[in-house]
This record gives sequence, structure tokens and C-alpha cells, in this order.
Amino acid sequence: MLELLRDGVASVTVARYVRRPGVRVEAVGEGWYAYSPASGETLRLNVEMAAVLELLDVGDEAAIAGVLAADTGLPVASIAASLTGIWDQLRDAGLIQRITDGAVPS
Amino acid sequence: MPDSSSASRTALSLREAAAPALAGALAGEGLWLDLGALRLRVRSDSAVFARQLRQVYPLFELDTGGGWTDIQVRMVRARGLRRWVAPQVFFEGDGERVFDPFPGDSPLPHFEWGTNWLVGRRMNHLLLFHAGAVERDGLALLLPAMPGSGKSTLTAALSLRGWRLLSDEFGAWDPERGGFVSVLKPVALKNESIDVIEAFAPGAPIGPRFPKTRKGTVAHLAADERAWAGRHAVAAPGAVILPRWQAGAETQLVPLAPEDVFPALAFNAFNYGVLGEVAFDAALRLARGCPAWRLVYSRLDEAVAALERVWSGLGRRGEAAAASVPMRGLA
Repeated sequence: MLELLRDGVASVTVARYVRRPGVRVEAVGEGWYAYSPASGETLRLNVEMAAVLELLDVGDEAAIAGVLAADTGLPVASIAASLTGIWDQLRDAGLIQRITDGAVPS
Repeated sequence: MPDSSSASRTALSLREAAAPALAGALAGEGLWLDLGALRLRVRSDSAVFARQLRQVYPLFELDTGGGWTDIQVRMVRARGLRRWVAPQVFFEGDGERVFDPFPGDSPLPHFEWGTNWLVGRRMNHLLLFHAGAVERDGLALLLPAMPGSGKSTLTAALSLRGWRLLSDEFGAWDPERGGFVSVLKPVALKNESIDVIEAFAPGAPIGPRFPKTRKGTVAHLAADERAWAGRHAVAAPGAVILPRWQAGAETQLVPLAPEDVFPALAFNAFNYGVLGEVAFDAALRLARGCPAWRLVYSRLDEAVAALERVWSGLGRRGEAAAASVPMRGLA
């Protein structure tokens, strides 16, 4: 995302998310469920949502897509596309929050 | 919380008490019904209500001694000219009239629904699964289900075959004690299930039938001595059955995986959202720890027999049966 000029150099803000404080994600048999203290609700997670939550520490969206691509053997672009709506769902459910951890020169 | 030190009787039961004594208690300071997990104070000026209450709470004590009260209820006859033309009775929960009145000859179903509503709203130290619950060998069999699934019918049938009734409506999980507790009230039977239970156990103590309620015809099966005497006992988690009555179906018991059990618990509780993480932990523990089956049935005797076989074959029962299942979670 082209955001600003710093010292005359265009920079990109990397969208990165962390799990919101107190969020719990638990495997129940073959399924995944999360508890959101923000809403007090329990949510059923699909595989993509659970995978993303597990990989939040890896880095930003692109980095996570890269890890999943390497793990599954699928093209990065395909993985990234399949994750498009996941971020919104996780954020809307109160499970993750966006952080801006520095700008990367473009 | 009620004193759980003794299950022995300290007063006459409602069945033993003289009718005027019961009516007088209800019209005066009230009657305290010890349901196990809670004490309910009820007052009423309706002689009809006194009669009906006695029929379906026969073993409960004529307790007029006051003390701890979790919920206060009054069944009050409507005033004015209406009481001569078309008598009605109001349900007051903790001083509030939150429902439309009922016909004056049918206060009992109103009382039962109203108190269930209050329990679901007020007893938030317990996680209240929408489930029947019975106990055997110290372990609870939980029957979570949606209305119309035959949950109450099955719960009633099990209670008539030696299982201890905890409730047909509330699987009441006590997080502090790690077990299920009683919310002991009569089992509410609806429509065909009344005849089914009468055929299943001729002579079962079923109270009067109330036709034309908003749920059709209802009647109530009184709790037995085992249920009353054990109402303060805690039942450890045993097994979970998801019942489904289906016309003409062969009896089927299909084992369920934890991922199938968890939503049946977490998304089918009265106050899950109120308890938050405590409820999440309880549902996790039960889904992971209890063996579970889906029961499809049309013939009650077969269904009960199937559950008896499952129970006797559990071996290492309840949570112990699944204790070796690793608990996974994302840190």
C-alpha cells in the first residue's frame, strides 16, 4: 500500500495482524473453535481461518501466504486469493487486530 | 446456595400436608421449593394453583421457613370483574409481570414456563445447557437437543427406568464443582408424548392435562423419590446423547466425534454468552471428555434399552474413557 513519502522515498505500509488479547483457539477433534473475549462469542473456524491464526507470528499477509504455499505446494497467488476474505472474517469476529509495524521502502 | 448437607425430610411433603395448610402457606409468606441448585419462593392466592402444584410436586416439603431464596414467584389471580367472567392468573417473577396472563384454571403450565424462564435468566453461576439430564452410578447422561426432538420424553422415560432425574430442561453445569446439578422440576410432556409415557409406564405420576396452551396439550410428570432425595448430589460428566425422535425410524445409535458434540453444547445453552470463557472451557471439557452418540428413535422402549446397553458397555466410563485423548490448542 503506497502510503507516504519519507525522506523523499515512497514507502509501503505492510498489513500485519496479531491475535487480539485473550483470544483462544482450540482444536476439538477434527474441528477448530475460537473464543473471542471481545464479543464473548464462540466461533467455528474453517481450516483457512485456523491456519492463519496459527501463522500470525510468521509475518504479514504475503509471508503467511508464502508459508502456506510452500506447505501445500499450491501457487502463492492461489493461496493469497483464497485468504482474501479470511482476514476480514477474523477481524470482524474480533479475533485479530491490525498493526503497522514499520514501513518498508518501495 | 441451599444447604446440601442432608437429603432427609424435615417437614411434611406436599402430598402429606393438608390442603388448607398448603393453600395457607402460598397465600401467606410463601412456600420454598428446594430444586437442588436453587431455592424458589412461591406465593399465590389461587386455590387451583395450590391443588395443581401439589399434584406435580408431591414429594417436595411444605417448607415455610424462609431462608435463602434464589427466585421469587407469585401466581396472582386477576382482579376486577374479569375474575367472575373469565378468570385469569398472572405470573410475577421477582415482582415483575412479564407475560400475558393465563386462564385461571391453568396456572401450573404458566408457573412452569415462567420459572424456567427465570432460571435461564438468573442462575448465571451455572452453565445451563438446553438439555435433559439424568444420573446413574454418579455420572450424568446429558441429552442436549432442540425443542421437538423428544428430549423431555426420553428424559422422562429414563427417570421411570431407574435413572435419577436432574432436569428435563436444564443440563446445569456447575463450573466450581465440575459436575451437573439438579434443577428438579416436573418433566413437561407435550401432546403425543403424554400418551407415550402413560403407555410406557402405566400409573406414572402425571398431573392434569392442559389443552390449548401455546404448546398444545401439556402435562407434567412428577419427580420420584430418587430424584428428590438426590437433588443436592453432583453428577460427574458421563456421556452425551443427541436425541432425535423421527416417526417410524429404526433405533440408531451413531457414535459422535468431539467436533460434532461441541457445537451441540456451545450453541445450545441458555446463558453461554453470559459466562463467556467459563462456558467455552466447559463445552471443551465435555466435548473432549465424554463419549457421545446421536440417537434416532421412534420407539421409546427400544431407545431406552439401547441407552442401557451403551451405558453398561462403557467400561471406563465418562471422562475417564476419553482421558487419553490429547488436548490440542494454539497457544
